[in-house]
Amino acid sequence: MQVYFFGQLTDITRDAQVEIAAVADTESLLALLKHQFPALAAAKFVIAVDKTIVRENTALSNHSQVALLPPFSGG
Amino acid sequence: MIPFPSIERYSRQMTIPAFGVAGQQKLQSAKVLMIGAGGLGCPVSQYLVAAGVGKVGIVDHDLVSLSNLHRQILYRTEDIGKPKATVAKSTLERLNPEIEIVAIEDQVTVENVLEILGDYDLVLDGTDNFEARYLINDACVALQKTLIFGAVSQFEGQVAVFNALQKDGTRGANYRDVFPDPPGENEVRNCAEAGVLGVLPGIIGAMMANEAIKWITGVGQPMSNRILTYNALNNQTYEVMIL
Repeated sequence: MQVYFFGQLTDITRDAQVEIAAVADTESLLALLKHQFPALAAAKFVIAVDKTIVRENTALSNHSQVALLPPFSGG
Repeated sequence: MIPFPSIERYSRQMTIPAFGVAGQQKLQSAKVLMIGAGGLGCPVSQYLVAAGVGKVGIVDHDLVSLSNLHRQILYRTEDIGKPKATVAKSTLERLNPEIEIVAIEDQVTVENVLEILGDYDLVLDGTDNFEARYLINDACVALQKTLIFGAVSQFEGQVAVFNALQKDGTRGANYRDVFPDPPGENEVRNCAEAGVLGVLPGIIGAMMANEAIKWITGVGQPMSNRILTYNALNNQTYEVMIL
């Protein structure tokens, strides 16, 4: 599946888009990403699945598109 | 009624059939508050004043500094050290003397926010810190006002229309529906720490001004219940729904 990173999260991941092998749900995905990019654990962001923000653990498929969106403060 | 000289000033937008005289009259009757006269506030206020919004309030407690000038295009080198709100008012009055422009040299605080927002129909947030952003959002929710949100970081910007009146009479999503709680200290770096490309707030500010003009005139689809991210590096946008 495709995972997109926005804003200062790309300072951590270096790439704005990463291909990840299928995982069952967003909690599993987060665990995987935090293992791969440890600095994500201290970052603030929300998760969108298929372009909708989700709050609860959400099932994912091979075709899911996941985005990690941080808040921006700059004006 | 729109006075005769103004018809020429606004003729290129009044010519658009979906905008017309009615759209211009709505702009003329509107009272809009721009909080923050920085990278976003400069283009937003320029476009709203140029477009003929009747009253524009500008809130900023800061002074112009040299590091502002690559993106805060209302100010000139000789303005360094002067209050942004006052310089912005002076520049904008020369752009369009028909507009009532109010400079508020102050910071929004818990004590004054309801009073400052009270006199305006629409609020735009172009501040540079989370404390102000959550305060403005919460005040707009309390006062049932629509908030046009813009924020920038490095090469990317976010735009949304929060707390907008929906067809069923309820209010749409607000900032806390996206990010329920403010980040802790050092969780997100600001422009001074992380940097920002000078032209980026110009693009995002123009998008905010566009949303304001659409909201006032009723033309088009407001960016309500959605948040858009724009990336200046590849010109891509990414829009997500807020449920």
